[in-house]
Amino acid sequence: MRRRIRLTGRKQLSRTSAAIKIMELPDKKLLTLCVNHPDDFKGFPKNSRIKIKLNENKLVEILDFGTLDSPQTAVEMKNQYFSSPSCELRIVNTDGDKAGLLLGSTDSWTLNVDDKDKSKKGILRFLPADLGSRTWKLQILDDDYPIVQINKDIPNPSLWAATDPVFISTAFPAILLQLFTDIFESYSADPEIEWITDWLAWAEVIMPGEKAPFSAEDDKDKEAWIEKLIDSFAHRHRLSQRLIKHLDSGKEAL
Amino acid sequence: MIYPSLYEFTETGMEYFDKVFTGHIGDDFIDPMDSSIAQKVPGTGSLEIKAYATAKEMAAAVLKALGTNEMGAVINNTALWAWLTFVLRDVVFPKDAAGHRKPGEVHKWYPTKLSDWQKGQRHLIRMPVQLLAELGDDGDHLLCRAPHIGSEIREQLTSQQDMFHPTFQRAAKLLYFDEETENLKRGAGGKSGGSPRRLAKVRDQLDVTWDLFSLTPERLVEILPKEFNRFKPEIDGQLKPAA
Repeated sequence: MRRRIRLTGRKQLSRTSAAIKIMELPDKKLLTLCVNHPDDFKGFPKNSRIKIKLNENKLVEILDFGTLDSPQTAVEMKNQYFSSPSCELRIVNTDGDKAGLLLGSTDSWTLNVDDKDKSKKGILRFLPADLGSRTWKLQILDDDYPIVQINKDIPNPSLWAATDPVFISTAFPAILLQLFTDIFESYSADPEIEWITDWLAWAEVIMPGEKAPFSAEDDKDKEAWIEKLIDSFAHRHRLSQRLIKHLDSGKEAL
Repeated sequence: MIYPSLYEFTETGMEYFDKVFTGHIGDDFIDPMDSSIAQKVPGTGSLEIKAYATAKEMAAAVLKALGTNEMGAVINNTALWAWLTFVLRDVVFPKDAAGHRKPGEVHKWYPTKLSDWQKGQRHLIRMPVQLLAELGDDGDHLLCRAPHIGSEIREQLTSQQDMFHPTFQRAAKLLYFDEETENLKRGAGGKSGGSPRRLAKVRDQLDVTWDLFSLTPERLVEILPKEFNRFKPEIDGQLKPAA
């Protein structure tokens, strides 16, 4: 099928073009904006509006920081319950028929009220490592998020592991099995350690209503729970279908 | 039945709730005002359980009962939404002719985290209450059906984060809601050209070119492609279908 691609004229802005932060005051939250690279905004009409879109829990709020020639540095957030909203900077045309046209925007990323670095970390990290002939290895830490070590000889190892359909469909179920088996073997109750709490919350999203059976006396109940989690994860992300589609596309699987 | 205030399940209550809805125990195992099962939520008022005609009517009753609790403060209170699901079970999961209750998909009755963007919006109580709280009458097209019906239009038009904005929903209401009958226009529940399902896709495409939040609802309707013409209203000749 012939595909027509229309360019929108929207400029892709870097996330670093401006620093955006949530500032928590005793009775309100402010969103602050500081332009890091003024050159990134050259070429836009001076009366274009600077807007920041926040999303969290199915709620959206648009904050207007004024025009490019007279920007505001802080705007009060109406939604005081946002804690880690996703954020996107947008430059919007205000002139005539094209009012509302999107002139430039960044990708979206997660803002955090209290811990700015947490959002960058994620619940599973990928790091290159010297693994000899092994492709990957799971490193489970006591007090920090688990790391998937990826053979450093693989080109762009971290990106490959996070995006490759073959790796995702074959290695991720094994990672889940190893991770939750270790958690159940190490703890007889939810230890309320941050990274484990986050993984249990993730499991609840994948498998709602199925609490982790820490207190089960029979290990088979725990094994069954992990199996069900893997099944749910595979089903939700259509792992086998994605793998088959990838293989059908003629790309080399391994 | 009138509850004097709203409650949230205790841990034991949550276990029983789960077992009731998965058919492992009967409804009568739960006394929703027993202190070992549920605790009062401070600041809440009374809630009458009755046959609400629409999801909006039910949502308004729950919203009123939340009292001094803002929606943002309770949106993630799973134990509260689970309690509401239990006490409103005959409203949102009525028994069939044979006397059986079939809650169906877990996301309709279990208050999954709202961060689960794919499924979180399917809850038959929390989502209507959130829509009414956020949109008021602008969400009529999403809430005009009976409470137990998780309509196609609500499924489609709550499927993306950016849809929870008055501009988009006012535009959708202009397209699909008949103010005279206070019901959906004919064809609004379909899946073909101009349907809510298509609007969700087209919104995604327009979002790359337009800051849709800056537009008026009428302008947003105006720039929709021809396939939406059959739903576009004429307002004093101002709202012209796309050529």
